[in-house]
Amino acid sequence: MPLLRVDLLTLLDNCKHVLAFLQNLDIDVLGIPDHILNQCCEVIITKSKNTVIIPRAIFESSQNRLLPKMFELKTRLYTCIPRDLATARSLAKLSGVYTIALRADTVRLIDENEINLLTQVKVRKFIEVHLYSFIELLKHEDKRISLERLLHFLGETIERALRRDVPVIVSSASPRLDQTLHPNQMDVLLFLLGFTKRERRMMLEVYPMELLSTWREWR
Amino acid sequence: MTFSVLEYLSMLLSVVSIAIAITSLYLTYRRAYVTRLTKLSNRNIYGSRRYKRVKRYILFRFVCFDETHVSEFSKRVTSHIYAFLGPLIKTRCGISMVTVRSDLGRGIIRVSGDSECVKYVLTAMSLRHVVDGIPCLVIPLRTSGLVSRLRRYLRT
Repeated sequence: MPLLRVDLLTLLDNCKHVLAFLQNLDIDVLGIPDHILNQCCEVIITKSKNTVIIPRAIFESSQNRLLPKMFELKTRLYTCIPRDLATARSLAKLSGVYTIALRADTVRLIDENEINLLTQVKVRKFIEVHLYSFIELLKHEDKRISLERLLHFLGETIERALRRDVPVIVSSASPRLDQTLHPNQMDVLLFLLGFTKRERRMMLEVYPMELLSTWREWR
Repeated sequence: MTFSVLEYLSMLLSVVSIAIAITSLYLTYRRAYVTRLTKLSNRNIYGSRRYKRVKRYILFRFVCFDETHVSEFSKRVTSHIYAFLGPLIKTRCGISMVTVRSDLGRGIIRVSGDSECVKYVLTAMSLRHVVDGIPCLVIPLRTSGLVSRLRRYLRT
């Protein structure tokens, strides 16, 4: 189980849930949405003395607007969700520190060619896996979507990225408090996907810290 | 071209010796094949074990976000895990609660069976709350083969 418990993205939608999360789960670094942090900044700071809070935001990238404005990128750590293949390729080439979201709906966009592009760019780009988007498919009984196939794609993509030294971060991205994932639980899921202890430590501890230091220096 | 009687005899002898050699080779091969087949069939008859049965202990922590009391929830954890795993894995993996400290919100669970069982049980613990909708997380903390190594985490 990881020594440093890092969850760089939770999508909890109110202060009460964030406080309950901080009080009950021992987290060292937690990323919460920027608007929630603005709503209850003082309470969170007093309750979370041992936790580093990171302001996060989600941006849906399209060909019309690929990235948010520069000052927004510097005030909060963005994760960009590409909506099509061309957008995903463009996101790999742009400057700025942000992560590219790897979710159940974008797993096909971040393929081998995207990983090759990410290895060639000057500014190191991070892939952020939103685990909840995969796990919530357990609840759906939609026969068109095969969870096994999606997890296979996910494992292949992560393995390919790690082999080419493209940093991959794993975060829960859970919108509900009662269905959130603790870093230990994320570690178990990666273990189920077949990753070694070293790879899991890299994804859950080393690369998140690298992202935070890169973002801090870039700001 | 004429052959003498001695030449005929020598040719006959060489043909016979070649025939004997081929027959003996065939018989040796057949005997080895039958022995191997018997060994294989014996293995199936007597049902040798194909996996080693192992046992592991998992230290975990409860976190309940609603009014559900930890002591009540701890009684149902194993049944929740079995429900998640399904009857097929239930035949391969055994789960039993060793000890629970409701005041600390911690407990130890014993998993026995195939070596893959620990992986299945850890996954069931981690994903159960997403599927069954009970707002209590079961967070695995440590896994060990000796329960004595985990008991120290339950002391106050």
